[in-house]
Amino acid sequence: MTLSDSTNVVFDCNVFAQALISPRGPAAACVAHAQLGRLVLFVSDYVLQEIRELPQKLKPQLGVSPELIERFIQDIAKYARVVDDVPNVYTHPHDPDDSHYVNLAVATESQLIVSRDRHLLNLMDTARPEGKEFKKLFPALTVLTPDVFANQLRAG
Amino acid sequence: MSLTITLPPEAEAKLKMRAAAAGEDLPSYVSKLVTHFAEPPTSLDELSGPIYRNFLASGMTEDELGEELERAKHEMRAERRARHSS
Repeated sequence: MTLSDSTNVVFDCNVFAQALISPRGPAAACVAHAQLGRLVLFVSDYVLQEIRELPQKLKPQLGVSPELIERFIQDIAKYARVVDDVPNVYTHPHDPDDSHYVNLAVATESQLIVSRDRHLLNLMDTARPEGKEFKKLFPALTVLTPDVFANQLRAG
Repeated sequence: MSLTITLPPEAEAKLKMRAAAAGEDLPSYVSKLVTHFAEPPTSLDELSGPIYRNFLASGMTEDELGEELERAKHEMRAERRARHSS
């Protein structure tokens, strides 16, 4: 996959969360690229709401407060394009809650979803029925972990 | 500086609702929005601040943090599904 400043991408809510908690890690490298305008990053209200709700379930010792998350979300809106209308064209067979990320990628003609979610990553495994079906439906769409994508970004 | 802008009716309605929710009149609210978006994104280091120190102090690796976030996400979603089904 060739990357450019016109590469459309979608990040899992956890990529944002990990970038906030560990700003020197691979997820942060992905977000920083979007901040610099080297990628076209798309989010939706669904994604922002997942980011918003996440701190309630995190270990308290990390100290991720709702106030900080709100500030982070307001900042994301500076460098991501917020999409209102995301048609439901795909349902993940094992985790329907992941479907929105695929639907957002399809709606925005994104080439890439960055996620650590195994249900999304399994869509790249064509030995699995869901992977075979996904490849047939969306041959141009790739799912990568933040680590792999950050390495690609570093390699330029 | 003063600007005159033309907005679609739907955008105007949404902005009026947001301004009311923030307890502000429309011109003040729009002015704050534009000012906000004129600023460059805040660096992740700056936003993270003490959270990053807490993460380092926790001894968690980057992979362990990723796993913790996935656990939290799925727990959050299970609760959301339960709320919607009740």
